[in-house]
Amino acid sequence: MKHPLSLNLNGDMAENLVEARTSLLTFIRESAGLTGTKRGCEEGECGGCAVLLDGRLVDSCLILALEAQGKTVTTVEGLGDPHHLSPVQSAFAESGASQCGFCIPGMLLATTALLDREPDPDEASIREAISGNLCRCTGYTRIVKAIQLAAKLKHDGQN
Amino acid sequence: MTYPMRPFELHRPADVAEAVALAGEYPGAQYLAGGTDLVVNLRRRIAEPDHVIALGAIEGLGEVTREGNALAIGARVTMAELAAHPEVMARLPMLAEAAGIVAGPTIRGMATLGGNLVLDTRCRYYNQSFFWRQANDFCLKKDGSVCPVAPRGSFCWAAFSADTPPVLLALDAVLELTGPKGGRKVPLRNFYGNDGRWSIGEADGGLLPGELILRVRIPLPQAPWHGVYEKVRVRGSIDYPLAGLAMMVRWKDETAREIAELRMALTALNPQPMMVPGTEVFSGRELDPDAVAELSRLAGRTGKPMRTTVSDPAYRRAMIATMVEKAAARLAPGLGPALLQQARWA
Ligand SMILES: Cc1cc2nc3c(=O)[nH]c(=O)nc-3n(C[C@H](O)[C@H](O)[C@H](O)COP(=O)(O)OP(=O)(O)OC[C@H]3O[C@@H](n4cnc5c(N)ncnc54)[C@H](O)[C@@H]3O)c2cc1C
Ligand code: SF4
Ligand code: FES
Ligand code: FES
Repeated sequence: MKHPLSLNLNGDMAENLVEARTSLLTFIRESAGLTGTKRGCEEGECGGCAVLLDGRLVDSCLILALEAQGKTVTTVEGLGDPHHLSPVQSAFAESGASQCGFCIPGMLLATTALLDREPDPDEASIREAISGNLCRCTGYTRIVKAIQLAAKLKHDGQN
Repeated sequence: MTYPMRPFELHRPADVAEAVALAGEYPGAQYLAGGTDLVVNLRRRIAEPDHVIALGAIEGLGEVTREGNALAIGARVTMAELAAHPEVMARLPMLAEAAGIVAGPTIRGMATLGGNLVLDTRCRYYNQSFFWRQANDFCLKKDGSVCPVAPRGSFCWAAFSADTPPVLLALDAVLELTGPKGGRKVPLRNFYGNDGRWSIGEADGGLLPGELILRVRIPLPQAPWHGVYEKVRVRGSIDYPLAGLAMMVRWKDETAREIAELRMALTALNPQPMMVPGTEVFSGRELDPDAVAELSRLAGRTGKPMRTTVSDPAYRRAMIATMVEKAAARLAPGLGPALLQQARWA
């Protein structure tokens, strides 16, 4: 049996009929067609599927889509587009923080959530904030540098 | 390989009465809180309920309130909230500590206290995809008839692996429950049982069918006391405990390290979280290296790791003593160097 679902996805209304067992991840990728959110482990371990749900960083593979009824979801597509990158996206691009790129959407959202609550994080907070996001390529050094740069860019942008 | 979940019907009751009525109407229904355990289990077809009752729309289960000499914590309070709550950090720092090292940050923002208390027991033959389990002829706990961990027995050794229950056992917390048959209060120490199939279920004193955890009431211990939580895991960033220990001490004389009362509880080593019995005899004694060695032996008699994780049980057993030493060194000022010296002589 399918149920109507409507939620705010990156500022637009996303609506469809979904089954109770459909995850928010599947809804975002297969119904809304936004494939920036990655399907990795589907078990809460990798953070590839991380999105912001009402501003909070969550693993979308562990949330039933119907549980997000009426809520606001931000995916990597909602941060910026290739012509208008968000400061966090620019910082990652400038730092060469991405290799295969699979983890990067989750990293960008984890960074966005971190800088929203802590504009000037130290390295320990940065490492803690991305500890639910696994990167199989980079060894994290450049990612941490990118997040430091992102904090600076956001800061400069406001002044 | 991921199979789709078995189809189920999702209910989103607006209040506790409606939730409990639904649970009464649909036997076998499962509550869904943060979903960080249940959704994984649904996907692996370890959980196959026909009805799922989501608690997300219910108000009033997410509060931390001071009630006289106790803190009452709602079942939907998340690990992230517990770890950062000023009152919890000030009055029950060991609980904030344990909640703050559950999984990683994405999970902690979703994971609730209620779900943590009745987390399904874990085992390397059980927490696998349907495909994997099928290829392995399943196991006694789900869909099979033999337990590969102990093939000749008829017992399930799956380990109860949540981080906050040992702390709450040491603190002597009480659960406030409600269900289709009415409400009741159960001391956490009478709640769990010792078979991995139903250590949180009715057969052992745990939840009755359809019962819902509303709040956890924690009496604030008499000052001055200190408590810590030690956890061993594979990856410090995200993993379940391979072993966990809560230790708390009330001092008769803190500078002389003279104990008034000492409590220990273990997790992830047995099918249930357990108080370590026999610590009463330490009252009046100094917490010195000899006492620590005795406490390690005592804890070692309670924790019984089996081949339920990819880590060797011998390693987890050895870690019990290590956790006791680390906890004691954190609790007793100046004890750390004495322990190190003893280790060097040994
Ligand atoms: C990658 C990963 C790592 C993890 N690491 C840890 C860890 O280090 N330590 C740890 O302790 N846990 C860990 N967990 C497990 C889990 O995230 C937590 O135990 C969490 O607290 C479970 O809560 P939940 O709200 O998500 O439970 P849910 O998944 O919603 O529910 C779990 C069970 O509890 C029942 N339930 C939930 N709420 C209630 C209630 N109020 N009354 C009655 N029954 C209820 C449900 O029916 C279900 O059976 C991990 C999980 C993942 C995916
Ligand atoms: S201990 Fe045995 S019966 Fe229990 S989950 Fe593991 S393999 Fe299955
Ligand atoms: S796909 Fe969700 S955490 Fe890995
Ligand atoms: S860049 Fe490949 S996983 Fe992180």
